[in-house]
Parts: sequence; structure tokens; C-alpha cells
Amino acid sequence: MPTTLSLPHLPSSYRLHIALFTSVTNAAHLHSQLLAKNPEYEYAFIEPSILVSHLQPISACFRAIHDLLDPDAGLRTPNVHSETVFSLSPTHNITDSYRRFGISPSSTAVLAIKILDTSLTSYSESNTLERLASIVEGTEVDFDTKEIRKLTDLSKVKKYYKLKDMGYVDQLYKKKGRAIEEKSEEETWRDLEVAVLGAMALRSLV
Amino acid sequence: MAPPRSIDGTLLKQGAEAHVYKSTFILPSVPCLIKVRPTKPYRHAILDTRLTKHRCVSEARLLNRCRSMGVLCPAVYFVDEKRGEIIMEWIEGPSVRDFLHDYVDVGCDFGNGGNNRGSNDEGIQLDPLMENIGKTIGKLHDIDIIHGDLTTSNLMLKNRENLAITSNSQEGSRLLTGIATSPSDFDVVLIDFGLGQVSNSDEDKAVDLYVLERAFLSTHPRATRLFNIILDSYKKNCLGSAVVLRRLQEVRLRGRKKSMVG
Amino acid sequence: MTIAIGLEGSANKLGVGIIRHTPSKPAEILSNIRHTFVSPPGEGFLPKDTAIHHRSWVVKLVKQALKESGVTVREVDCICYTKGPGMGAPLQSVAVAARTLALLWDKPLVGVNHCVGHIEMGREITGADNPVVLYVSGGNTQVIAYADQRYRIFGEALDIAIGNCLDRFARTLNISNDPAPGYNIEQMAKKGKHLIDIPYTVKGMDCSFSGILGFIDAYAGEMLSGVEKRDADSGELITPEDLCFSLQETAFAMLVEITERAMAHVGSTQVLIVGGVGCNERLQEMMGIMARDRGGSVYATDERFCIDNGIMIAHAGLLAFQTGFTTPIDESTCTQRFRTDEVFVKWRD
Repeated sequence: MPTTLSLPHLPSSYRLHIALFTSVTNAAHLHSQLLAKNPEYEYAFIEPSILVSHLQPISACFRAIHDLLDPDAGLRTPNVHSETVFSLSPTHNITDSYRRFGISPSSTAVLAIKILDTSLTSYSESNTLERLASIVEGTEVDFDTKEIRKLTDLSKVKKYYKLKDMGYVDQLYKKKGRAIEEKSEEETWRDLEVAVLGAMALRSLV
Repeated sequence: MAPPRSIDGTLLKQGAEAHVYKSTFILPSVPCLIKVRPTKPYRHAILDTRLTKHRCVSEARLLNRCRSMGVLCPAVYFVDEKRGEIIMEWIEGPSVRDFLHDYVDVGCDFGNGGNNRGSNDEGIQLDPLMENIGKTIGKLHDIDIIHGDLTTSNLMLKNRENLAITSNSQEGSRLLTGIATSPSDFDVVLIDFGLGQVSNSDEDKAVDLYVLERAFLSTHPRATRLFNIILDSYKKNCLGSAVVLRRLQEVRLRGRKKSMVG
Repeated sequence: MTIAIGLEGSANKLGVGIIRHTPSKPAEILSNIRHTFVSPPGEGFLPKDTAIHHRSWVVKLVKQALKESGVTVREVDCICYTKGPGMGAPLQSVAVAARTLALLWDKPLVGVNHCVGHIEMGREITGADNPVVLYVSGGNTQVIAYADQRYRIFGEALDIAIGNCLDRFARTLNISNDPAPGYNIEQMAKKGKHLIDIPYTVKGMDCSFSGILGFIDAYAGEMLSGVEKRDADSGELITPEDLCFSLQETAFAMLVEITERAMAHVGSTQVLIVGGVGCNERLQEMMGIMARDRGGSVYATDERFCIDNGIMIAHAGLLAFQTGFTTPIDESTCTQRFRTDEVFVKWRD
């Protein structure tokens, strides 16, 4: 079942429909339709291996809708979906952001997000959900942090989000021969999550 | 400056520099704190815009740097620098200031160890807390961040167990008693980096300590001994402490001779 | 009913004041006179010359003050003098005068902390009960709040005082020292309109002015040597008036900010401004806006009390005297460094 959300601090009419797929077979097709700018395929198709938690894509949606509605900001890309992919990026390079955070023809997992203003008369929840469930050919799994972490490519995340300084002070102390408290696996994921969210949040300040 | 907007949240504090709200970020289960720097009508509009934006941006950057390098502070979730707003992680727990106040209120003389909370409660030691503060500031300085406004209000206590990004709201009251019984189960979290900067200068680090010393001793006048534990712990833990502490002596002297007509 | 005579001379003003305290009545100012040593434009006042000035005027001022007050020497209960802080030579010359009077008239001496003098006089005149105090003068910049029998310093300038910064900038621009360099900067600032970008240095509740002075001195230096400076938006020439305006706007914003921080810290809504720079109307205005925003108000005094004077020494000295405090002759020294928080304030709750 896709996840449906509206976000605090944004008009409640804006709704997110999110579905996570594995064993995807039509990534090449989806990718080509994005390049062809086919409006039927206006979704944020995200490469899940660069995700560390479910908050990360939702946060990107928040930024995209926020900028869409803010007359002082505005979108930097053609629509709120491409903007969502761009909002996953810690830099202003739009092309790079599509390449790194959007799907590629060879993707085997896809996170698909549809953002809609439900106050528009054209909106139909059942149609949207139906379409979302069928547009990606693969196995739908729960959209949650547990499933996402199974797909995470840590080295890619660290590279794209420039996280080489993470935990710098502990490494420094370790080098000086101090005993450092080892972090639990959960703590490490949590640190990674907030580091990624922070890098995204600071994009506008880069 | 972009026009201000109404904030969807509970106003917690109208501080000198910022208004602080409690709210949620993207999901109802993620509590957050929204910090807004309002326009200060007393100062020139150009100066006001410059300062507001600069501090918002600088604070967001410092929080991010500090947190990712491994010193606890709120994580940044969202920044709208045009409106001077930062949405950040909610830290559940009391400030060190409130915590110490609580001690004084129940009649502890924290000048000599503060080991008597009321008559029938378990004994508590403030020393581990002070050591933890010194260690945390030492780490901060070892990653070349100057806080710029170290006061006991800007040091918070957070329970170790509280790991998940989502948390429940009963945490706060439980925490006070939790800390009281086992002081090693909490972390010291630094907040409010609005006046901070990145600097490796010993002078800046010494002034940072001097600011804390003065804030600490003016708010908790009988707590000289406790402050010395902070300094000892800083000395032990911070790699650059020797030079910084020597410099602190100079900064103190300068502070005291300033009462001279120049 | 007690009467005190106060002698102040820690900087370039020599002041003599006579005050009368009657239980449950406001203090009565019987006389409050002052003579200022004014140095030529471009020059500060040197300790030696200032001490000579004070020595040559003190007898005259004491006589005049007594005459104005209608008080006889017999009615005076104590002689109060500034023990410090301040410039060594002028402080000493006034201390010598005070000791002489004490021996001559056989009256007890009371050594007074100059800063506490300002604070107590400010409280007396304005009726501010328990304010956060901003003390701003040529030698001091402090944010003070009362707690546990002391005036505690919450914030201060980490290098030079605000008044010193203004005075020295006045010298750079060759502005007259008559009646006071800060006063003349204030008048020029009223005609300024372009804000230039000056370093803004607040560290917690402390601030720093040396960077600002260095910056604006250099800026003015370039202007004086013929380099044209223009406002980025309007393209108009930057004038010396704009510099005074920019300096005041920036430096005062810093002062208001650290005061507001202290107010938030101690939970107070009253603010009292004392010291020579406290006469500045723009500073008072800015502080007023801030205090109103916090639901409180600003208290300030006029030049009779803001600027160094003898009456504040008499007043603070008499408060201490009434609690039994006196300074024996052989301890009646003075000191250049005398922190506000060193004084045990026995007369307050």
C-alpha cells in the first residue's frame, strides 16, 4: 500500500503519495519517459540506494513544496517532482542531482512519489493510488526506514553528501590513543540520518 | 527581508534574540524546534537584515558542522534564511541552568558538592555533570568551533536512551529524576550557536571559556568549585587546552583592568 | 537626617556635591557643581594635566558647593570621595583633598566605588527599583544586575570602553572636545544618513569595540587623505556625519543587544542607563524601543547625573555610611582598578 501524507507547515491540501518498489524491471522505460518529459510520468522517481531513512525523501518533498509556494524562492527545476529529486542534493548542480538521486535505466529499486494539490477538481485519490501502484513494475514493499536501510549504499551516501568529516572528533581522539565509546548500530544510522538531513537543509546556503 | 509568517507551533520562549516554538517536522511523530529571529525595531533596518540573515545562516552551518563532526547539538532539518527561520531537532530535557536552579530550590548547597537533595532522597553528585560539560566544550574547541554564547541556559541535558528521531512527550519530566539518580546516563547538548564561529584561535577559545565563567559565576554565585571542575575536565580532555587555559588567564586579567580610563 | 559631601575626580571632570538623606523621603540635592578639564581638539586628556586641573579647582568648588547648599561644615556627617576606578593621578589629587577636609573638619571619610556611585544615583533619580544597569562611559562599558548584595557584571566590553571608542574617533576626525567629544559626535550623527558596513562584535553578553574603532579610523583616514567613498545604493559621497551615524548605530545596537540579553537572562524588564555616554539621546531611544518590546521601560538621567559628578559619590557614600561603613584615614587610598562587583552592597536587600 502506498503511503499518503500531508505535511505540517504546508497547506493541508498538498498530499504526498509514496510507494517503494524492489525487483524493478522497467527502470529504463521510466527513465526514458522522464527524459522525454512525458507528463504521464511526472513523478519523483528516486534511487533508493542513496536513502538512509524515510524522513529523507519526505524532507525533500517539504523543501520542494515550500519553494513552490514561496514567492521569494520558487522552483529551480521544471516541476515539484523534479524539484523533489533536486532537493535531495546538498549542492546546486541540478544535472548532477538528477543523475545521483534520481533513478537510472539500470535501477532495480525505485521510490516513487506523487505530489498533488487535492483542492484541484482533477484530483482523484483512487486514480492516483492505482496509477502509482502500477507505474513501476516491481514488488511493492513498505515505505519505512527498515526497508530503506536494506537498500542503502553507504559509500555512495557518504560520497554524495560529503560526509568524510562525520565523527571527526572521535577519530581524532582515537588517533591520539584515547579510548572512544563505540556507538551502537542504531546510533550510527541516526547520526547518518541527521547528517544527510542537515546537508540537504543547508543546500540553500551553499 | 521576506515578510514574516505565522508559525504553526507552540511559542515556548521569547528570548532576547529569537522566538522559539515547539512543533513537528514533516511527520506528527517528529518533534522539532523552530527558531525565528524577529526584526529588532531598535536597530537600523539595513543592519538588522544583515545581522538576522548572517546569524541564521551561520547558526545553521555551525550546528551542522558540530553535529556531524561528533559534538552533540540539535540537527538541522530546514532553513529559510530569508525569514531567519531554522527548523531543528527537538532536544528533550532541561537546560543546565534550570537543572541547577532545581538543586538550589530544594536547598542544596552546591558550593560544596551538592550531595544532599532534600532529606530522604538519594544523594546526587553534580561533579559528573560538570565533568561532562568540560569534556563537551573541549570537543567543541577541538573541532575549532567557538560557541560565542556559552551560558548554562545554552547547555542542555538529554537522556542517553532517547535515541529515535521520534520521541514521546513524557520524556521531560522523567529526565529530571533520571539524571538525578544516574548522572552518567545523560549527554550534554549544546544549543544556540547564533554568535558562534569557526576559528582555531586560542584567544577565541579562551574568550569562549571566559564568557561561560562569567555567566556561570554570575548566575550561580556560590558555584566556583563547580566551575573549576568544568575547567579541570576541559584541561584533561581538550587537546589544545594547555594554551587555551594560559590564554584564559590573560583574558581574565584584561577583563579586570578594563575599569581603567583609556 | 544625614548630610554628605562628595568629591569626584576619576577622569577629566572634577565634581563636588552635597546631599541630604531623610528617612522615608527622597534624597535632597543641596548642590552639585562640576568643572571640566577640556583638552584641545585631536588630543585626549593626560593624567598629569588633569591632576593639575583638579588640584587647582578643588578648593574653589568645595567652597562654592557649601555656599550654594546653605549647609555649614558642622552639619556635614561625612566626606565621600572616589576611591576608584579611574586615572591614577587625578584620583590621588582628589583623595588628598578629601583626606585634608576630613582632618581639617574632623569628619569620617567614606571611599566610594565610582560605578556604584553612578548606579545608586541613577536609581535614586529615576526611581528604577531593580533594573539591569548599562554603565557606559569613557572608561567603562558594563551590563550590571544586582544579586546577593553585589552589583554583578553580566557583560562588558572586552577591550576598550564605548566612550573611549567615541572619544578616540572624535580625535581622528579632529572634532572639538568642548563640551565633550561624544556630544559633538552625537550632533554630527543626527545629520548622517548612510549606514556603512562596520564590524559588529558581540560575544555572549560581552562586546568589543577595538575592531570597530580600527575599522572606522582607517576608513576615515582614507577619506581624510582624499579617497572618495560612496554609498553603494545611492552613489552619494560618504560624509564624516555618515561615519558618526554609522558608528553610533552599530555600537549602540551592540550595547542594546547585550543589555537585552542580560534582561532576558535575569528576567527583568527595567533598564537604567548611567555614565557619560548614557546622555546620548539616540542610545536612550534605541534602548527605549527594546525595553518597550519587552513590556518594560528605560530609565535615564540627564547630563547633571549621567556625566561624572560629586553628588553621586556623596549619595552612594552616604548609603554606605548609614550602614556603619567608614574608611579610616590610613586606608583612604585610591585605586585605578576597582571592580563594581567588589563592593559589598550592605544597604540593599
